[in-house]
Amino acid sequence: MSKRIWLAWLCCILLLSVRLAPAADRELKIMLATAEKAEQKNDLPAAIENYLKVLEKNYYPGRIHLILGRLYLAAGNKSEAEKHLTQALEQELNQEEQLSVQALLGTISYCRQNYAQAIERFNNCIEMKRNYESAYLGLAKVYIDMQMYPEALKKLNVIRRSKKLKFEYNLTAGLLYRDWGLYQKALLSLRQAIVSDPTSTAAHQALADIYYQQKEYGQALRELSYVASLQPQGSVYRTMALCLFYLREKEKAMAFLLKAIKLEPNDHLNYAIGGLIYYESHDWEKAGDQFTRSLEMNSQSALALIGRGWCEKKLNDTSLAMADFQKVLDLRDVSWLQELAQKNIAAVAVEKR
Amino acid sequence: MVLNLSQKLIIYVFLVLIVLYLPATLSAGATDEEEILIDFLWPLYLSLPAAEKPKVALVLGGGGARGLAHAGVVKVFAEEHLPVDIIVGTSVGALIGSLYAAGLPADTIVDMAQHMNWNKLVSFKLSPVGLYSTKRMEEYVTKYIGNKQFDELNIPFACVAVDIRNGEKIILKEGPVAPAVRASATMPGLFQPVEYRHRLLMDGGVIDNMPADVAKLMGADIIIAIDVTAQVGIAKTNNALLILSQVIYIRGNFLAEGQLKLADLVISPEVKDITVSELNRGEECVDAGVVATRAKVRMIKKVILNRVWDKL
Repeated sequence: MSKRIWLAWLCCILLLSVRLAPAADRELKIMLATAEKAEQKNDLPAAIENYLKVLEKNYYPGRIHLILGRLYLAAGNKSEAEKHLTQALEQELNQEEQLSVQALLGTISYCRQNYAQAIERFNNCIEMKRNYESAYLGLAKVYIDMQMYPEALKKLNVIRRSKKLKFEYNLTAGLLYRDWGLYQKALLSLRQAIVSDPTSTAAHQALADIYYQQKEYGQALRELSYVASLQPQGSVYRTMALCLFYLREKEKAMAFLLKAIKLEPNDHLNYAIGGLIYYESHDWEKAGDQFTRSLEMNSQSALALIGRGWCEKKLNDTSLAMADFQKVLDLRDVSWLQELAQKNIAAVAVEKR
Repeated sequence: MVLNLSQKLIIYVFLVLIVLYLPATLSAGATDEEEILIDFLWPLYLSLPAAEKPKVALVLGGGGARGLAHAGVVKVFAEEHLPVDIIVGTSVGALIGSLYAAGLPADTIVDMAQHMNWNKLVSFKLSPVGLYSTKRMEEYVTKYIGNKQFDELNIPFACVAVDIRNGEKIILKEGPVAPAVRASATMPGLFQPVEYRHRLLMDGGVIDNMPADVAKLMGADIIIAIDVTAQVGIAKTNNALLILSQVIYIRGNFLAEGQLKLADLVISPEVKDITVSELNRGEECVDAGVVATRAKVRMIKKVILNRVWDKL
């Protein structure tokens, strides 16, 4: 009898476990599908939440930690990303996954400007897999930031012929040449990058930088307009205002400055540039007001102090002008502007006499 | 399900690496007060009458193949609309300087520098005074600027040579340009001296590799010197030409020290590891010239604005 009961009990358990296993699998499937869907929609918090639930089930913890590390990094939470990636390293991972973890940790170190650690991480990847292209790309970017341009170029040359990273190669080469000062080569690379991805704001913005530096303001404006349409930023509108100012379109320049101010109301440079525009139009009072507003936001602005000093000089307020120029001399790390202020003080002193 | 995750990881890593490009977007736009002020004042400087502007001289030093970097220098000067009122050169500096002074577009000069080779400049001609003739160099310059005289150039130009009969420093600034350039760039030992107006002339680098004083004599208010001398300690000395050039440049470096003190600004392209004869490294030299000059553009503008700020 007891044997029968025992057997019946065993059968029940077996039956139950057969029914429960697919149920658990289904639940996991649903969680993963929800997480992936959220990620596809770029809903990073929802994706993270769902992957965390999957992690609780201890389902492939290495991989899930890796995914979470990546998602946290994409969401800008570097410390959480680092935590999960470090935990991923403690789990069982295949080679591709280990490479991904190292590359992501390298990226985090790069973002934190811990270049030595970033180089170490990316080099770890290359040690594991000689042709791991992402690591070369990462190294190139690190060397660009460190202004070690020939080194960066060497790393980039390794992935020159990569089909997978064609856009990334061209964009990084463009940024490298831009920062190095080789504008013609930069333009070629950036245009190639735009062929691969016409919507890349980074590439359009880098192009705009070069055109701006080359005083090709019309071309710079065209690129910046595109960037602004996708990613409106105060600094972009401000640069557009400067382009228009140099193209002698002062009214349009002021309109763009207002857009910049709307997005970044506390950026003193917007007002200082407004001051310069009015100054150029010989409207000393309005210019002075703009410089004052700029100084309200940043009392250490040498540009605004000099500008206001000029306005005061024009309005014959020589003592005020002297005071503003004098303030520039008390600032740190603005040597040429101090030199300029010093010269202005001397000139005002001569005029006073 | 597991396989899916694994495949996606690789793609995702690439996507996250895009984070690497974020700092690039931050660098855009004018954010530097000094730069904004310079950019504001610069057009005001450009609009000044010529008489109120300081005369800016470009002094292009000698250095054989390294001097191809001068092409990169003039390219940036042209691109940035930086003023050049006087050009003085020695040796390869005379060659590149004459072309720019004659009004050749900077891009053409860059192209020439990138495709330079010895065949264009010298020909083998056995003689007791040298193995090669530099007649081709004269023809090469003539091909691009014609038979121009110094006073027909767009920018006042002078170059320096040495009269090997009496060791006199000769400043060439009158008469036909091409033979003067040839004389200034004729290295002793391998190349035959040039007979020029009853003188026997050779490379100016022997006596003055960085003729900043000549620029001063020509009325320069601001002197920008381009130094392409070799780093004597790492120079290769494995053939007669290199040994001769090494001797010239040891002396040249010594002499240039005093001349560099006359300069308001010195631009030194990173070409120190390139030998005098490596004309095949033209592109590298041009890039080095561009990079070094670009890095000094703001400084050049500041030096100029310092002289005129009260007139703006």
